[in-house]
Parts: sequence; C-alpha cells; structure tokens
Amino acid sequence: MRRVLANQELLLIGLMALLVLAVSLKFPDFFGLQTLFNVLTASMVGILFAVGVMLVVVSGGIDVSFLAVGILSAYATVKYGPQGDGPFGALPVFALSTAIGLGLGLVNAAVVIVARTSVLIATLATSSIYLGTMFAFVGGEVISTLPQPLQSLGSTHLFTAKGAVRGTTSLNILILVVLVVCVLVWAFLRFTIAGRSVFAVGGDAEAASRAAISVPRTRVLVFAIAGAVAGLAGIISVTLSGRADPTTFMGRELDTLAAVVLGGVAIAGGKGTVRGAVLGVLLISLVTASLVPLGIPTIWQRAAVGALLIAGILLQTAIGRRQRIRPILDAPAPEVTNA
Amino acid sequence: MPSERFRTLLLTMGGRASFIRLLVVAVAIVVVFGVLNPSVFLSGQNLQYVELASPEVAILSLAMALTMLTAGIDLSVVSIANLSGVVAALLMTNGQSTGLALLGAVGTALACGAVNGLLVGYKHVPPILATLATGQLFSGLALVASGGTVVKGLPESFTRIALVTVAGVPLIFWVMLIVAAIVGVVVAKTPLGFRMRLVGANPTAADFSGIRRARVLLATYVMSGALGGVAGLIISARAGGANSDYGASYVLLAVVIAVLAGVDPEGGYLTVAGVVIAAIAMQLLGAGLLSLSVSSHVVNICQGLLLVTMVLLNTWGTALSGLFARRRVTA
Repeated sequence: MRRVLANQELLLIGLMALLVLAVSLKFPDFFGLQTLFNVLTASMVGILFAVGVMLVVVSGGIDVSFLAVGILSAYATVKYGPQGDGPFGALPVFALSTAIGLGLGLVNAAVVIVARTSVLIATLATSSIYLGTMFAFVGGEVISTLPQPLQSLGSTHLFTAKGAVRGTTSLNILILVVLVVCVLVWAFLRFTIAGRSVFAVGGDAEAASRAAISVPRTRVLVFAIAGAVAGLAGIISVTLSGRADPTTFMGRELDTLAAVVLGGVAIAGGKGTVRGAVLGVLLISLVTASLVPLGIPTIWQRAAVGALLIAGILLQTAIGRRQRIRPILDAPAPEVTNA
Repeated sequence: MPSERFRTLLLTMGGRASFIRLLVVAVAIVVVFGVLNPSVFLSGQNLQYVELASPEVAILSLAMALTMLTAGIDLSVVSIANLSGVVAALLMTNGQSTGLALLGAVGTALACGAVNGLLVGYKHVPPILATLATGQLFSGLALVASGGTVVKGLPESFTRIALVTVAGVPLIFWVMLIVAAIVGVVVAKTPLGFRMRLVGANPTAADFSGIRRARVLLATYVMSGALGGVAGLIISARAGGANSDYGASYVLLAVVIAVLAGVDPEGGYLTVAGVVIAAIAMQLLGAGLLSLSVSSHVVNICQGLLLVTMVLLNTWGTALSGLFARRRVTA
C-alpha cells in the first residue's frame, strides 16, 4: 500500500479517472473526444513550460524566469522575425523563437554560475530584466496579425471530430511538437550521460563534482534546454491564441510550479520525471474543465488547485519523511557538509 | 554584558560589510538622481510619494525576511495581504465598523500564517512548497470572496488612514517604523527571537539544545502572516479598494529587497534596518528613474540589474577586498 501511494503518478492518474467518472455520471457527454481535445489543447503550452521547469528543478534550483523567456522570445520573433510565407513555412519562426529562448537560458546559467547564487534569486533578477526589456525596447502592444505561416498553422488540425453537442471539435497539429519535445527530454534524461548527471547534480552537487561530473557544464546544458523549450512554448502559445500579447503569462509562474510539484518532482532537486510533470499539468487542466459541469463556478479554480496542491504535498511529505529537508535557497554547491 | 549587547545591536543594524554596501547604494541613488534631475527628484512631492509607497513594500519584505531568518521563505505573503484586505473591505461595505474590519483582517492574516506554520513546523513540508500551495489557496479564496472584482466603497474613516500625516510624515510611514522596531526587538531581544535565529543558523543544533523547532516555526509564520495582514490593510487604504490580484509582483520584490538588505536566505541572520533602507532605496530608484521620464519598464530592468550586482558583490566582494589588503601589505 505504501509503495502504491508513494507512486505519485499512479495517484494522479487515479484522481483524473475519478474526476472524469464523477462528471461523466452527471453528464454522459463529458466522457468523449471533446473533453479530451479541450484538456489537451489547454495543456499544450503548460506542458512545455512544465517540462523545462522540471529539468531545472531536478538539477537543483527553482526557475521563475521561464514565462519571461517564453513570451520575450515569441514576441520578439513575431515582431522582428520573418513575416512572409517562406519556402519552409513556419519553421524559421519557430527556430528563431527557440534560439532566442536558448540564448536567454544561457544568460540565466551565466548569472547562476558567476554570482554563485541560488537559481531562485538569479532567475528573479533575470526575469524582471527580460520583461522590462520587452516592454521598454521591444514593445508592449498586442500584435493581432501574426505572420502568415503562423496563422495557417494555428488552424491546421491533426484531428477534427464532431462535437459532443454541436459543431466540431479539433486538436491542433502542434500537439505533435509537444509530444516530440517530451520524448526528447525524456530520452535525454534517461539515456545520456549528461542527462543522468542532471539527477546527480540535483541530488548532491558536491558528491557529483567529486564523481568527476562537471557541475557548471551540467547547469549550462540544463538552462540552455529549459530556455529553448520555453522559447518554443512561447511561440506555440502565440500561434494557438492567434495573437502576440506580451501580458499573456504575467504572474502565472506559480501555476506551472504547482503543476510540476503535483507531478512528484522533488523541489529540492534530484528527483522528477517528464511523465509526472505532464500529468500534473493535465490534472490541473482537467480540474478546470470539470468545475463547470460539477456546478462549481470557475472562480473557485485557483482555490481548488491550491487545496489539491496542499493535499498532494502533505501526502508526499508524509510518505517521504526519510528524505532530509534542506533549505530551499541552498546555494548550488553547499560548502558545509553535515557530519 | 556590554559586548553581548553590542552584538545584538549589530544584529538589528545589520552585518557591517553588507550594511555599508547597502548604504553606499542608497546614497548613490539619492546623489545620482539628485544631480540628474534635482527639481523633480528632490521635490517635496517626490519625497511624499516615496514615503507613501514604501511602507507596504517594506512590511511585506520584513515578513519575507522573518521567514528567511529561519531558512524558509513565504511565497504566500502577498496572497495573505490581499485576502486580509478583501475581508476588511467586505466587512466595511457590509456596514461593520472600521475597528471590527481591522480586527477581522488581522485575524484572517493570523489564521493564514498559522496554516503555513502548521504545514512547515508540524508537517515538515518544505517552506517553499507549503507557501506556494497556501498562496494559491489564499488568493483563490480572496478571488471567490471578492467575486473577482475590486471591492470598492470603503468608508472614509478607513481610507483616511493613508492620508493622515503625523509631524509632517504620513501615518503609514510611522506604522512601518513601529512595525520594524517591534520585529527588531522580537528578533534581537526576546527568547523567541534567539530561538528563531538558532533554528535558522543550525536546525540540528537547535534540536539538540531542546528548542521545540515546530513551535518556533509556527510563531515565525504567524508573525509573517500578521505582517502580511498589516500590509494588506495599508494597500487597501491607499488604493481605496481591495482585490485578489493586487501586487502579484510584490512577492518577487520582497525577495529582492530582503536579499539587497543582506538577509541570508539560508537562515540565521536578519537586519531590520537593512530591510527598511533597502525598501526605501528601491522606491527611490523607481521614483528617480521615473523623474527622468524613462519608461516604467526600465525600472524593472534596473531592479533586476541591481539585484544581480548586489549578489555578485556579496559573492566576490570579500575576494576583492582580500586582493586590496594583500596589495597594501606588499607595498
């Protein structure tokens, strides 16, 4: 029983099944493609952000700059990037946004490594710099006409089915991109030496460096990947919503962190899976989608997620009490080792 | 013991190196903007603005710093402020007296702080997780209570709090100074403060010396929550209304100010004077940049750059001063 409960991912799946069952009993129509597509569409951007944050958290640090990276990359790309319908369609636009995100991720890594400060404090600083730069120098107005390739991509659907009640319901083709990124990050963490080093550095940076793992190099890699994924998430969000609004994500950092935590990623580092992060985001989207059919006003969404989060954390800590609780703002490489 | 008294005094005044660094930054801000645009920056109106805008930020930063003293963090403090503000506003708009509304707000804040304290102290949840989750819950409750809108129509007896001046200085600025003094005395002079410092500096040692860590943490988070409540009242008195989303960026700002002040996020050290000065310095920086009529977003960039610079100085400052010392010896 303990083992089953300790598997947070099973718990999340169980919770989701329970939720779907409860709503479906009341509204049989709820159990169908429409709900699935709605939840997936609502989760796409969140999943990418969560996967990037998960990487940083596993490496031992809390990144709060990912949304700033995402929206700055996407907004700058839409404003200054290729506008016409080139031979490769939307590919250059996506590549540019991803590259900008990667660059901003490298800046994060530089600050963390040079200033030898905690990731939380470093990314707090860089995120206000990024957002300020965007509003002061790139622009702050909503761009409602996207480049042609993005517009057509935004209405290219992988599946289109008849709606449960009326109309049609569809799933955008970009879900494939999200899927590919998830698989790539999973493979990176599981099969590459650099990926395994991420866990080692997050678990104990001192021990990792004594085992001949280059801690700075691992950090640079993690921030570069997380930045690139955030840049990609930003441009996908812009494509899906059909407009580039620089205020889209303002102040939503904690929501993504909440999803990552629900997914069983240890906030102190060293533990976490792509699957968990994805499930965390899906659960939150499902909760949001279920509130209205359950007769709860959507205004309760944030409080409901908060209560769910507290329950999840309590369970997690009650089970994992063997783990040492360490200060959350731990410097990257603690110099004092506990005897 | 005079030496002991001196050390506790130093503790409230801040460690020498980081405190001097902060003072240099604060003075530099005043001098730079005073020279660049004296007619606006040094005007009484600008000073008044800084006096009115600093208290809420300073009190939230004190709440953050208190939890950092015990090697924790309180990400929910702004949510607590907003929830208390909404509770007070609802009580007042439903015909209750201002006094009762203030009590209700502080009671709400204490209860929220107690929830944090129970999770962190008794359930051993890492503070960043506990307050992340409760912050979500509290701001969600505030959202529901306020109906997602700004609760307006507060009585004049309440909004006047933000306008009254005592001896030429706004009342809320006095409130900030009094709150800071209380926090300073509690941390430096009381047994509770001593235990909080020890829990932050070395939790294992605290356990072995018979300190009930859970109780100390509970008290810390209740205090932090209470400060959040006071800040929430100041915010809604100034804004003339309350809503659930006010000042979402204050969480980050409070961390920035605490770190600028030299509060060690790994625990064991707090400087009340430093926090107040850092909060005022941040407001001066913002007001100064705006007096040069740059975009308000440049202020964000500068705050971020300032934080990076201070962290760099804290990391490399001692190495640099060591370099100078060596040079002096060889010369």
